Amino acid sequence: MPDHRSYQDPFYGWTTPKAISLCVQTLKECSALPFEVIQKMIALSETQILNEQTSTSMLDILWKIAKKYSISIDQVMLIFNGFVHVLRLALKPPAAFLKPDIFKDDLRDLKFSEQIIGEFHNILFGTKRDQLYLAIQERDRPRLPSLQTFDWNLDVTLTTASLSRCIEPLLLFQFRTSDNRNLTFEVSIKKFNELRYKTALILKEMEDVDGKQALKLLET
Amino acid sequence: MSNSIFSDGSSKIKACVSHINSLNEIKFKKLLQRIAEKTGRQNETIFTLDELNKLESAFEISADNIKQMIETLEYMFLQSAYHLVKPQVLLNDLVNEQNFDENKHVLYKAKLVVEQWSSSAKEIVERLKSTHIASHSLSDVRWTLDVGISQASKSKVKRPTAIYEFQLKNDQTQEIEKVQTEFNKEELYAFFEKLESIQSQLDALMT
Repeated sequence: MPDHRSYQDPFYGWTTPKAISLCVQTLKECSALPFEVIQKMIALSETQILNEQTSTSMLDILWKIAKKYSISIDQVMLIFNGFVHVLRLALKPPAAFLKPDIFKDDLRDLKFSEQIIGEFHNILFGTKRDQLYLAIQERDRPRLPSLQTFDWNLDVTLTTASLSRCIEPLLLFQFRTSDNRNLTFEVSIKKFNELRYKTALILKEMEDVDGKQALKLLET
Repeated sequence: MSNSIFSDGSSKIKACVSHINSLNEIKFKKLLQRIAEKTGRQNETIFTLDELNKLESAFEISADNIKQMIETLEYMFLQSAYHLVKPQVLLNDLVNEQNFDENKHVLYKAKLVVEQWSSSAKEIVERLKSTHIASHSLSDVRWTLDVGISQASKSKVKRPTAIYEFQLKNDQTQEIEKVQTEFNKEELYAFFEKLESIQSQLDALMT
């Protein structure tokens, strides 16, 4: 069985990232820190990735840890930063790519203790695995505004100021986009049909994307 | 007078009838055509100032009178549209109630109006039906389908993304507001489901 190192690069890259080496070094310096605290910090880093909590509340928790165990906030930050880094790098390759054993081996190469390696393994392959991957893929990229709510109104115009007998359907759309734009507009039946046709066309094209030859290279 | 379709504006019409009756028929017909084309359009005047001046010299009537005449004729078309009058009814009204000359030669004028009405009625009514009330209306939808293959946080992805550009036209100012949005597969499906439910409502309405 060839060593995985011969066919797969470590998930953290070709050289040990500075943030991680500093983390390991600081962990050695703070050897008095009980494992539960380290566990807590690893869990915090998972939360950090999932929720993008404002840095102030994270900072509060880290300050408390620093005070309780009388280590400087700098050291706490270095350790925490390293943990977050490990998780981000682990989430970078496609999900099926990084097998548990390879992940653990790579972590050993980084000189983390077995206990810590166990913790990381539980997080990456645990219950929140899909959420983590989704957060990294969807949130941490530039994107155009998306449609948050789409309300519509179908009215029938019976009479107007200009026509005593009318009977025309009237469509009103209200879009709210993720960049807080509220748009209310009329859609004529003709335009509505065009919109519906275009959407169906795009959906079909999207389904076909999976079959395209060139994109088969991206099979993960 | 009280039976007329134009009971609201009969005084206006009274003032112009003599002018109308004195016009040359061919020119009158062209005038009618032009007015019918533009009746009911929002935010557009029927004749520009230049054109009004030319009409003044062509018809040998003062500009004010011409303006009044044009307004009257437009008013007649709008009222006919409001009530969706049949041509014969219109003819009777014009001749009997509005004092368009009954002289066989000039009866022709009333007939011209009615003929113009018969041919343009559908178009005018359609135009009036589609006048917008809301400030913006959807004038166009453009789209592209992209596939994201890589990003800073992930080395390899396959992420089909639909980008829509909704063009909303402000009817008053004719300005176009562009709204760009992104949809991934799930979002696009949800959007499509909503469109489908609207369509089923429309179908229920039509039956």
